[in-house]
Amino acid sequence: MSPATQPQHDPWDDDLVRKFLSATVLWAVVGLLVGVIIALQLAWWPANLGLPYTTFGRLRPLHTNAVIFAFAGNTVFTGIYYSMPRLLKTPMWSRLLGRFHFWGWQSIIVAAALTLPFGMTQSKEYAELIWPIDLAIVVVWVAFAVNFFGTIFTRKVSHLYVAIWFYMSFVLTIAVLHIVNSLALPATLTRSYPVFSGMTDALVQWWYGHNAVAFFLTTPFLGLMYYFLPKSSGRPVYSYRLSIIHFWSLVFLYIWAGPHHLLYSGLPDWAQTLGMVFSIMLIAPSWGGMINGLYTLRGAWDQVRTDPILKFQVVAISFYGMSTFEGPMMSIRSVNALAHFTNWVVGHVHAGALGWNGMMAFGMIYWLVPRLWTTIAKPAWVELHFWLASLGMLLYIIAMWAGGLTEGLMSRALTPEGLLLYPNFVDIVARMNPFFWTRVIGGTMYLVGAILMAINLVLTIRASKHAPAVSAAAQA
Amino acid sequence: MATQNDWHRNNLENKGALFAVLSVAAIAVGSWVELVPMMTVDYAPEQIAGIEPYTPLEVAGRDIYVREGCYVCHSQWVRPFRSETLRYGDWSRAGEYVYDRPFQLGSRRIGPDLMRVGGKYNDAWHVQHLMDPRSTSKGSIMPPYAWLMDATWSDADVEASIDALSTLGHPYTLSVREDPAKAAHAQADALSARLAESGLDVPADREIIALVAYLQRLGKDGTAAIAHSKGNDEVAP
Amino acid sequence: MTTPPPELHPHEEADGILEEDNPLPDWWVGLFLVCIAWSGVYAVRYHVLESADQGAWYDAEIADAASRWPELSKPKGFDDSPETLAAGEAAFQKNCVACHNAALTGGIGPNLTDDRWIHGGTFDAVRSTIDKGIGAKGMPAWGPQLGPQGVAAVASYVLSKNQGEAGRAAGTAMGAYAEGGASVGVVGGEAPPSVPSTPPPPAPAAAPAPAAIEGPPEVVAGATVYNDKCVACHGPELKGGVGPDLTDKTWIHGGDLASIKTTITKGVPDKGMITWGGILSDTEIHNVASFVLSKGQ
Ligand code: HEC
Ligand code: HEC
Ligand code: HEC
Ligand code: HEM
Ligand code: HEM
Ligand SMILES: [Ca+2]
Ligand SMILES: [Ca+2]
Ligand SMILES: [Cu+2]
Repeated sequence: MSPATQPQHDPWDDDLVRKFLSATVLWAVVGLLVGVIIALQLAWWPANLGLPYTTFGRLRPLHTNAVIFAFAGNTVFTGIYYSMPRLLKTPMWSRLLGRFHFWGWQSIIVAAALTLPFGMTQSKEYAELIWPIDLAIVVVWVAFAVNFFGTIFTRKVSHLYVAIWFYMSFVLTIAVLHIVNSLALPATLTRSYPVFSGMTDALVQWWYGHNAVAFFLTTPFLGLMYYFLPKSSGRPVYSYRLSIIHFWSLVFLYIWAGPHHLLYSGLPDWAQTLGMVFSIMLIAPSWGGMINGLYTLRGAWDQVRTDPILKFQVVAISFYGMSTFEGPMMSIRSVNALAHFTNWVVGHVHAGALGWNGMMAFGMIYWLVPRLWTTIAKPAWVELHFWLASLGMLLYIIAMWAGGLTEGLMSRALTPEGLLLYPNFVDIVARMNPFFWTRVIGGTMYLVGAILMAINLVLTIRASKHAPAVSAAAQA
Repeated sequence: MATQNDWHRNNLENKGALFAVLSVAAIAVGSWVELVPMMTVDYAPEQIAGIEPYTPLEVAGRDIYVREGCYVCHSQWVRPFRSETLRYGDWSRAGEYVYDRPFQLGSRRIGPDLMRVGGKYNDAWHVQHLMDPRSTSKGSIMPPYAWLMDATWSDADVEASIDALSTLGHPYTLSVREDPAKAAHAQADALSARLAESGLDVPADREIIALVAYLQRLGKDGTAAIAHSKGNDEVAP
Repeated sequence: MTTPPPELHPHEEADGILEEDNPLPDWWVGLFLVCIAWSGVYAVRYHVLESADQGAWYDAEIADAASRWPELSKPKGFDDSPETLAAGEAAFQKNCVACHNAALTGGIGPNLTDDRWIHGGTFDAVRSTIDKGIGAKGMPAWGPQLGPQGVAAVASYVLSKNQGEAGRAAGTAMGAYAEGGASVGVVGGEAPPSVPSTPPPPAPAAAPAPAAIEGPPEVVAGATVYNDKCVACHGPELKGGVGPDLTDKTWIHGGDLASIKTTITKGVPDKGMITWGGILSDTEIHNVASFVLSKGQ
């Protein structure tokens, strides 16, 4: 398909980007809201409401699926459908497949929301969705991949820009991971048993789980960084060769690190060691991405002080650097012995999720909205959102670090006679309460920021209906 | 200094298909080295004699455990540290999990580990605890599971599960495979009768019966098998 | 858009994005190399030089604990030194009275002062029962909490209080434990299983005697339950003991029928009041609550 067959006024099919962006904002609010609810349930158990559908055990997977696949997923698709045609100077290969991808993906999310609260789950973290949905994911993903590679093969420029490399590893690796980890024998329409059992099943799951983090929450977001950061700052990318080295080393090393989720389990020692040392070696490739981002802003720091979009991006990249240092440290056997099973892991997760993925997404959204609709309705709210998100996130993460350490130390504390100091588990549970409440507060602040963003978007869209189409200035 | 004519530009970054193939190759190496041995090699030294598949009723209970998401709060994985074995019993060996589909190791301990909870309490305690966790454990934050007392497990589900698990190679005896529901009812009736002795009137077809049967099984085989393989049954100091 | 500085990578257009081609920062290359080297060294040390595995590490930790706390690894034998008995008594009063009664004469759990042992009456048998518990019957495992030393002390204390056959008279144990069923053996456990056929003599005045029974049927029925299950803690006159007085006007958890039923059903676990919901039926709870109310003032 050529631009000629595209509607004249919309050569790059921004209509699809608008759809994905709106979905991103909607699911952000939903996913974060469920996060706040489950945070409240741990602080105050009656919030489980006594209904099967609203207990923590069923809502927690709803939260993780909503934020990862709905919020972060739609963020990435928004960015890809906006940047690919522009980088390759051709519209996406098929408008139809793009729409199929959009509606297919949203239906999968709705299906998730309609099955998880009913207890329909495979229980593998981040792969909970039952087998019929797993199949639907394959179909939608293939449609996306065909459209993606169709565009690459019909491109009008010869060189693939670095953002495209990261997108590509996302499209391909997620397909491989999803298919292998979903291999299961159905027993009924909603239940199935995995073909692997016991420790093998656990290894496959954490090979998947870790690389869902790597190839769903990291590589595509690096792609977004490589496109939207130079765009929003107007600065050239710091180093082309650094991008080559850190891309290839990142994808090669990342896939090995899964066993750091199974340290001190029944997994053979050699596999545990691989998981640990490859995590350590991951520091450099990860930081390669961080410095290529931060150094791109050399000489633009005064801009950062005034531009909330750059602020979101700088905080995002910093938290990326922070969590990719923390992660390798937590992969060291002796550190993991303390951190594993505790709130520390949850703190690490949300440093990455709230800091890197969330802030990256918000920065991108605020950059795109004026280019897709019209000038932002409430510019002041953007700054407010930034501060709410940053402070809320700090409260959340610090509470979880402190809580996690407390939990880890209490679990192993001994009396002078060599016996457990806290033999009753509920003593440890009770100590977590203030940390859980702090998280409720921090999470609520983060959520309120996202709600402001959603209202802002609605107001902007309304205003754009009256204003002339996208202003020329914004088309930069 | 890089130029327009760098080898990687011309031969790689300008060639979409090759780039795609190589990026799959990059992830294939690690995946292959880590996964394939575990999938194919028979981990003979890891296998422990005495580990049996879950009974049909316990399978039904396990499915409820999965459905309710107990694994988000409870691990089934005792690590080889003294502080853990003091609290939860012997550490977990790979061979103990061979009939775990899906695995339930967990990744978070909001509640205590359940790897070896079987036999730690009596059946009535579990019923009481699941109905109202704070009645047995002051300060617990576990949600109550009242509906398990009303909902019933079904023969059809048990049959479908045992069919699928047998296909996947779980060695059930012929009589179990032919009539899984019968075996399930026998075990459920016995459990219901034991509860009646403690004054709890729980019909055998209730989900809570299946769940308690599963909880009471946890760690039973493993603890015995490990003790046997060590040639003694002393707890570690 | 800034004008490309001279060192910019000559580059066809990427939607207007320019790339510089700065060299890799030295510190970054150094970091990468150090991480790779460290990983290699670690793997070789762990797997080749030490040929370690987690089971071996665990065994080493246990051996280390055994040398650090030698008393933990070789549980003490019977020891009737005053210190040990005092320690045992303290542990007993703290942990066991809820079920075995302060006088060891039984309640939820069996009488420990007589010569009837379900699980054996040798020191080793008693120690092991306390250590591992009887999960299915409600006796908790105390090993994790008290440790071998504590368990040995409390076992010594229990045996020091044992009066053999004479202890039967003191028995206040409820239900299954009251009459000495077939599973009950004599002191030592190893002795022939011939159970003494003489029924236990009626309880002497020292032990709580049944409360008087009169009134409507549920109260009468409740009295039976009370004498079976509650008397050990709340006393024959309901005047209290381990548990509070149930005849006065003070109610910690509410004095109407509904509240009392709730208290009985749910218990007050951290205060020692049993959760009867798992043990008594709803009717029994209703009856015993009515009985308790009938005795109130
Ligand atoms: C919100 C978190 C949460 C969920 C969900 C949860 N639990 Fe718990 N569970 C706890 C906590 C906290 C404790 C420790 C206090 C107690 O005994 O209640 C506990 C204790 C237990 C115990 C006692 C363990 C011991 O050794 O004392 C069992 C058994 C148990 N839970 C089973 C379950 C089952 C079965 C489910 C699902 C139907 C479940 N739990 C869901 C938090 C949870
Ligand atoms: C929650 C109630 C409870 C508590 C608390 C409790 N026990 Fe027990 N105990 C029981 C029950 C019930 C039995 C009977 C087990 C059986 O029938 O097999 C028992 C049995 C025993 C026996 C075995 C008696 C025999 O006949 O073999 C000993 C010894 C004992 N307990 C000691 C202790 C000590 C010491 C403590 C405190 C450190 C303690 N118990 C705390 C409920 C309890
Ligand atoms: C193991 C000892 C024990 C046994 C046996 C026992 N109780 Fe209690 N009970 C207690 C203790 C201790 C308390 C005080 C709880 C508190 O301080 O909150 C209590 C409190 C109560 C209360 C609440 C009193 C108030 O002031 O609110 C009632 C009612 C009661 N028991 C009834 C019973 C009945 C009926 C039974 C028999 C079915 C029984 N108890 C058996 C130990 C026991
Ligand atoms: C308002 C903001 C948020 C709140 C209050 C919140 C709250 C929570 C809570 C309470 C848990 C369960 C922790 C536990 O089991 O102990 C959780 C888990 C998780 N959340 Fe969030 N969350 C928020 C935002 C996000 C975002 C934006 C993401 C991802 C993009 C995310 C990803 C996850 C993941 C992956 C887990 C599972 C962690 C694990 O299993 O270790 N969360 N969240
Ligand atoms: C080099 C980079 C990283 C390494 C080596 C790493 C390592 C780890 C380790 C060791 C754990 C704890 C496992 C456990 O003990 O249970 C963990 C958990 C986790 N990390 Fe990271 N991490 C990295 C980066 C990130 C980033 C950037 C994100 C988020 C966007 C992230 C998301 C998560 C999640 C969601 C979990 C929870 C998994 C679970 O238990 O459910 N990680 N990571
Ligand atoms: Ca799935
Ligand atoms: Ca997890
Ligand atoms: Cu990981």
